[in-house]
Amino acid sequence: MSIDAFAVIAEPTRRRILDALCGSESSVGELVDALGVSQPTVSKHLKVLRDAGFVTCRTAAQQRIYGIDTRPFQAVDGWLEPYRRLWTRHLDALERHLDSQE
Amino acid sequence: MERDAFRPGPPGEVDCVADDDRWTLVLVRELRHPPATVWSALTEPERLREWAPFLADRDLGATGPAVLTLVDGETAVEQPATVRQAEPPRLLEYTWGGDLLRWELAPTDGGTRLTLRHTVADREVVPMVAAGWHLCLDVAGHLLDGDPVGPIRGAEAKNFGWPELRDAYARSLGIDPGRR
Repeated sequence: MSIDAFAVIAEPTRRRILDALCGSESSVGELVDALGVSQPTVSKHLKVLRDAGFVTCRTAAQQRIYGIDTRPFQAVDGWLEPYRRLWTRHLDALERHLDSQE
Repeated sequence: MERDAFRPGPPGEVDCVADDDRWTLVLVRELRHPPATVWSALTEPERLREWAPFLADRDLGATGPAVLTLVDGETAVEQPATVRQAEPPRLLEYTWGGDLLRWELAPTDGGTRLTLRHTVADREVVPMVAAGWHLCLDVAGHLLDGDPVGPIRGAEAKNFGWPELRDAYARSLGIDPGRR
C-alpha cells in the first residue's frame, strides 16, 4: 500500500469520519451534526477520503450518501500481517516458558 | 461590536442552480463600500484572515496557484486553489479543492453589489454554504464598517446562528435537509 494512504488516515478528523461511516452510511449533513465540526471541514476531508478510495458515494433522491470502501483497509490490514505473526511468536515463546515450568 | 453581541442579519436572497452534476449557490449582498475596498477584502491575506473561512498564502488578486487553509478550531486543512480570473475590482474566480468560487462586484449608488457563485458537488450542502457565507459576509460588513467582531470560522459558527440560517436557506431553496 502507498505511503499516501497512511497519510490520509493519520489525520484525526478523517479517522472520526471513517468511524462514523463504519457505523452507517451518512450524508454530509449527518456527519456535520454527528461530529460537531463545520460543513467545509467535513466536505474537504470527505474529498480527500474519496480521492484516496476510502470512501464511496452514491446518489439517492438528489442527495449524496457516503459510505466505506473496504479495499484500502484490506491493504492496511495486509501491512499489519507480519506484525501479527510477531505477536504469535511471542505467545509461542510464552507457552514454551510455561511448559518448562511444569 | 462585542463579539458575544454579534447576531447575523435575516436571510437574504439566494438561488441554487444545477450545473451538470454539480450545484451552484448564488448569493447577492449589497455592501456600503466601493468595489475597490471590497476587492481588497476579497483578495488580501491580512484582510481575508479577519472574516473569511480560510487563510490565503498569497494575494488572490493575480491568477495562478495558491493554498487556502481552512481553519476549524484546532484543526486546519490545506487545500490547493487556482485563481482562474482576477480583474480588479470587478471579477475574481478561483477553485478551492473541488469547489469553484466566482465573485462579481458591481458599483451601486451606495457601494457595491457583491454576487457570489459557489459551485459544490452536494446539493444538500448548498444551504450550509449559504449560511456560512452569510455569517462571513456579516462579519466582513462589520470589518469594512470599522466595527470588527473578529473572524467566525469552523464549528464556532454553530454558536452564532449558523443552524438557524441553514434551516432558513434550506426552506427558501426548497432543499430537503434530508436524512438527519
